[in-house]
Amino acid sequence: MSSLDLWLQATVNGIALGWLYVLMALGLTLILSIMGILQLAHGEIYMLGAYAVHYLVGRGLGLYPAIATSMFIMAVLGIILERGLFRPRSGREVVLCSIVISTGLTLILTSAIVVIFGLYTKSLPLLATGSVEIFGAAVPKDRILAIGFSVLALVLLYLFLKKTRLGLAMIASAQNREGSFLKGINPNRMSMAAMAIGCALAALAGALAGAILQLQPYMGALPMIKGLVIIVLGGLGSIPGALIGGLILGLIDGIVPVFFSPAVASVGPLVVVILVLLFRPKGLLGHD
Amino acid sequence: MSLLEASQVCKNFGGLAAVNKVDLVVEEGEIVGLIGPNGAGKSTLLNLIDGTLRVSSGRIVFRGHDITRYSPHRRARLGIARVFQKNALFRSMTVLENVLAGSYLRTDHGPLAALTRTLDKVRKDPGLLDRCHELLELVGLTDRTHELCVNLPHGSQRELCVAVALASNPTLLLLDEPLTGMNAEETASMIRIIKEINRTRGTTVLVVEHNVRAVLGLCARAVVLNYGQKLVEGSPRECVTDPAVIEAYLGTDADVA
Amino acid sequence: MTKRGWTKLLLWVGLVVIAFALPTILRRDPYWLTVFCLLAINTLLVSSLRSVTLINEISLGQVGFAVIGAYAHAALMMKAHIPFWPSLILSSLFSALIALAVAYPFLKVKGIYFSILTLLTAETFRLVAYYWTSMTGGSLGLTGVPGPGKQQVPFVGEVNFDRPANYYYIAVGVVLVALLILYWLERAYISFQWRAIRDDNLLAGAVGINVIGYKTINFVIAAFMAGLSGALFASYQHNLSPDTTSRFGVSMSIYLLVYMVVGGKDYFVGPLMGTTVLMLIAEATRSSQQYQPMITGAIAILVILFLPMGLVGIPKQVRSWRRVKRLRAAGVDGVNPAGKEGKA
Repeated sequence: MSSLDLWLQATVNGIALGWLYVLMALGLTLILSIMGILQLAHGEIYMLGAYAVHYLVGRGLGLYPAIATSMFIMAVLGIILERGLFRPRSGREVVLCSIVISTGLTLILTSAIVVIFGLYTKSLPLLATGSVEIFGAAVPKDRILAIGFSVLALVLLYLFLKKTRLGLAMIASAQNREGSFLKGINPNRMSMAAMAIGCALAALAGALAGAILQLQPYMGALPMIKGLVIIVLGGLGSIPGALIGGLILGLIDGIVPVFFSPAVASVGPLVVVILVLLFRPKGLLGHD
Repeated sequence: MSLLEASQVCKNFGGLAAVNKVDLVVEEGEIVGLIGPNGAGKSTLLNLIDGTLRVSSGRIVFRGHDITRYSPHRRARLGIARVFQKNALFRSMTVLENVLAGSYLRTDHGPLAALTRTLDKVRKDPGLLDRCHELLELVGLTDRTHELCVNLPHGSQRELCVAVALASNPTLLLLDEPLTGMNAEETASMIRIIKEINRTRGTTVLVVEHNVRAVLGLCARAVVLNYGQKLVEGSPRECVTDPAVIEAYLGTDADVA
Repeated sequence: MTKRGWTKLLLWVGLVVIAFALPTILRRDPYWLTVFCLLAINTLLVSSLRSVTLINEISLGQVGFAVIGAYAHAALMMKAHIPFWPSLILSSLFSALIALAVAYPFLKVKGIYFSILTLLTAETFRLVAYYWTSMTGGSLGLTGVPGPGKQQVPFVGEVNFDRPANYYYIAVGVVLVALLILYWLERAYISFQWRAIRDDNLLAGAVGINVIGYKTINFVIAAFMAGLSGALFASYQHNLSPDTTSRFGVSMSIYLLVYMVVGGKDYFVGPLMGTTVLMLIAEATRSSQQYQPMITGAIAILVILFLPMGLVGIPKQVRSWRRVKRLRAAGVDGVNPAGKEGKA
């Protein structure tokens, strides 16, 4: 393989992962802005989504139907979690409650998966085999498909939020919870929708990641942190912000290690986040 | 020299100018009213003066100090106190504790003192307690000293807010709609309190108020804002009879004229 | 002193007595002393987390400062050959210094943003430890971190504090002193400013309190304590690993939070209570180790939903339930069961 090949492969890998992080960020940002909570078990929903696909494929379902089913199951799980655990109770500190509940959930879900599937890594079938030629280099088809699905999910989400009544109500609720409540939007329904969509997106991201990489019980922590960084960079509740945040994070992850040692490079995201928050406390595309 | 001089003050939110090139001068010992229709930029202007917000452009001078870039606590140190529009109180504290917390600048509060003195000692300082009780007497809350502040009715909470702001012995008191949501009796009592503060302590007061009638009775001078700009300035009577002001208010508050 | 004051003093004395009598009670069983030693170290870390809640923030980054403390202590002792005690203090100070350096942007933001930032910080520090192989041993971990070694103790003679049963005294002693300092801070005038900031930071600024300044003091002290806990851990464990699943991974930040909430975050002894109960439950369920996180997670969720004041707050909780019940019986509806009642 030529060095161009290697370089291109690394770039395509980076882009594919970057899109998955953006999917995570989109779910997190919906949940955060509409419900006002920090859902730290989002990474475990991602992991669970991947394992659900693994299980369904093992039962003889095709990969694509399995991914769709997994997304649906996670959406339902999201609704159950919202109703049963995350719905705010009177007289409680919302942020603390959400953090404790979601971290408790993290512990339960990861250890459940460890008990059921074991600590060893699992894998999913490939999304597609073979590769296509881009600029004379071979790029595996599955990476391109993963990117394609992520972009498709993003476009669908965007259309949903901008063109449907429910989507518009969700945006209104995200921008001003009390105000939209006064206009007759039921905040609890918005929260349920946010959790359902967020969890479905996480399941998709997890399944795609499982198909390109591997499955293991702790796979959720990294994408969750990346997703949070993207939100802070791009601005809470903003889809274009999530895209820009994802792009910046991808650039940091891709370029900084070329010039610096990995130890220095790992500080990159923190430094950029701090700089952004210093000069634009609401993120790059967030508004005051 | 005037107590407060704000010159050509602007504040933009996004592309919207909430406050646009406003000049405002407050002399020592005055009660100045700041009036105008909803969204005229009155509260924003107060926020710019007390440092909750920073100006986009312009300059604010207080007692000869250019405080344009000062943070809120540094402005408080120079003698600016603020009563917020919503009942901002230290919600976990009792009435007396609120006033104690408000007295922060009147206590020995260097970082070292704050680390080495116990809270009990500060709380039992007789001089400080006397001052706090005096303030509670002024606003008529002496019989509720040890109640949690959140259990007070709205009107009393508002009065407590004033006591908290006064506890730092300010030169300039900024009041943001002190009369909202009050009944006639509470309104009268609040007006009496504000006048008394001004008379006995010589505190200068800048008050934002919707209740134009109250402003007429309270202030010697008023400034009218509309769409972030200064419309008229003068005696309250002049202001409310000014055709431009009537036009600005028409449809929003018909009983002004 | 008031009656309350005496009770508290008595509790402190009782705690110290129990802590130092424990080795005798346990017949110097090395296994249990190791457990209790770690319990003390964890209590300090959880207390540092609770200390940040005094300014109404939830720090998910205390583990990050523990990482710094641990590796700084290891480096000072192994590379610079600085003795145990100065190294312990210097590494904690170093951790505090890092906190001071990042404090301004961190404390400008609030709530969820603060929690995200601190979580990112903990993960970043862990990754630095993971990749900075020359200093930290990298992913393979760092082995051979020395303990205090042999030291002269008055009336006892020479004691080898590297033995777990003896290191227990050092860890517990240091943790008790650190807790006393934290306790003092909560009784000092500065706690009143923190409370004011927690209640309403805009109003706190308006009455002249330097909000960022006081928050910084809190954050830096908490980082110092977390660093101290990390340094104590380094000399306790003798080897450090920056793995995801290790003590320095994200899951540890989660455990700390759970310990605090289960104990009761509004109480100074909450962290001690939560850490003790949960670590002892973990010991009791050692045979089914893979279910342990599940049990811990379930406890955390149940406690936050049904006992928001934690274990220490149970008496108060029961009183508030009774009150609500009484009021309901008397036909008063819509009472707030949060337990905040006036002193009328």
